[in-house]
Amino acid sequence: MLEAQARERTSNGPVLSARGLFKNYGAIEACIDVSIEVFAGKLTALVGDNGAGKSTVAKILTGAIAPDAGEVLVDGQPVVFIDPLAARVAGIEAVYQDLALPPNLDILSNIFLGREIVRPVFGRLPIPVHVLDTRKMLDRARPQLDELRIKLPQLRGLPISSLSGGQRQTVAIARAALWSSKVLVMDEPTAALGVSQARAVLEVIKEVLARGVAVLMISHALPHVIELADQVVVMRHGRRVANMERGRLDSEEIIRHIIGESPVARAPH
Amino acid sequence: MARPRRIATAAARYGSFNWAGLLLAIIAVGIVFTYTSPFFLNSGNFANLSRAVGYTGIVAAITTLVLVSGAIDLSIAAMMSLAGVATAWFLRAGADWPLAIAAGLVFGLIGGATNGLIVTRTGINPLIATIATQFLMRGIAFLMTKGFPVPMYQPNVAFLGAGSALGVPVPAILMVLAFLAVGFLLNRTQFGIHAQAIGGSPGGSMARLAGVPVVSRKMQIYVLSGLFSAVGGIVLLGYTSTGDPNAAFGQELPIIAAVIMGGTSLGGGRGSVFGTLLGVVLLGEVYNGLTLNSVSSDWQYVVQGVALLVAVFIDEYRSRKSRTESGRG
Repeated sequence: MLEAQARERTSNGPVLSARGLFKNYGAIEACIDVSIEVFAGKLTALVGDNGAGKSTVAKILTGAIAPDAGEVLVDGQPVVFIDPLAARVAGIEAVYQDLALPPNLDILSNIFLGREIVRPVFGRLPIPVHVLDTRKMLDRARPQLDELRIKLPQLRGLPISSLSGGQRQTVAIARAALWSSKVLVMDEPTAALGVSQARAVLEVIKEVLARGVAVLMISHALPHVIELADQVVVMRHGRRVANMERGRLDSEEIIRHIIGESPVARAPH
Repeated sequence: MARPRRIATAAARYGSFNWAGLLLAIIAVGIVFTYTSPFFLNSGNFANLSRAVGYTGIVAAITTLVLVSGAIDLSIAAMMSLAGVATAWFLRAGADWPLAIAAGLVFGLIGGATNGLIVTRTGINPLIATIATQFLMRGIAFLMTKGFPVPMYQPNVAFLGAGSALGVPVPAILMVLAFLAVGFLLNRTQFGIHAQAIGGSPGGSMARLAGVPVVSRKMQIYVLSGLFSAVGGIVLLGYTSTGDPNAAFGQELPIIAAVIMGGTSLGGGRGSVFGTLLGVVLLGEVYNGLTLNSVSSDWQYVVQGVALLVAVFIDEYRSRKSRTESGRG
């Protein structure tokens, strides 16, 4: 009976959620009693003005910072991520605003950074030196990048620093998309991108959603939000002030929630 | 979108360091000394040169990896003398030579681990931390010897510094092995790619977010630095047949200068062991030629200072260039 309920919960419930998150930076309350849920194959957009606490929520959900209070749940089970690696092991990938791509490494090294495919160096001798298996990494990355329709210059030999901003963004998203099995969290994935590059990123997001991965996207680009989102969560001054479902998304209303001028914003949700 | 031609040129400039300049400098300096001293172009002198370059080269090899990872270890020269003293001390106490060498290497491991622990656990700036451990290591070496050099007569240990195999000085062979080992580690292994990733952003922050175990990698890097320095110190002991607490005094900066001249960035993220090899050969050649021309050792200090400044200046120039190139993205 309980097992059946658990199965019910995992199939229909949120794959990743947070309840009652609080986070202070000294006197600044970045996050006050925020709850959020993301669902498999659905895109949740997190919107709000600068300093509303969106990035803090994203970083808590991906293990980059620890909340002062509140809990994070994966498939309904409470978890504590000690670092981003722990979140990643749980199938949760993140694209942060600073991208976290060491600029001196090439694309392939960045995509596999921290998760390199290796082979033993001295046969079966117990020597702890792990040789990179570049061929295997290429064989694994190429078909997946094709499937996600991600176009990148040569994967080997070009340092990230020689790529354009849009290409770097694409590498960061490719890395996260390739590894995310459950949730993909993106902080401003289309900011600072040209129109066609932003379009390409949105197409990648659609492919990721089609794979059944839940996507949480922080964005200021309301047209993108309205086009893709199944759910829009609005934050203001560290609080969640609105949660709207697809079908009644309207950019006027979202803006009113963001700037807090409408009485609707103060209505309970 | 992508303009492949510009990107390819930028990468060629950034990714592969141009060694032609260093090779030319080595040849030019060689020609000058050939004219000024009849002893320069002489097989006996080449053997001398390769021995002198050998023990510093072993340490320069690992220092390449240290700098690429954005770290710095100024205790390398003190570590060399302490490992040499420890080996000589164990030999004098009656230990067999393999045990004495093992003891010297263990000192290197402990010294490196100490540096690693201080840097990763306390967050003390590695520059200051390794200057402090430099004093610690010299101090222990002085305490072990009561301030007097320890003579060393063991032929197998002497072979490492003064011997030849098939006509090639052993220190030169060991140096080449050290460069091959570090080149392999840096370019072909998970450890090496992690070291590069850590050096690629200040404090390794991006590498950490990407899932690189930054703390344990830094620890391993400092341990290797200590271990290679100990090897260099034992080779130096074999060369001089003396466990001297003053050995290799002040050598850390010329070694780092050679590494930077070879194209490795002082700020981390970029480097090449082959470039370091050329840098070590160039500086070794200069000191050797100055000695042959009876230039006083006072002037050699001046040369070391100039070499360090030139190396850092070139590094600054290269870094600025790669920053402006990447800034266009």
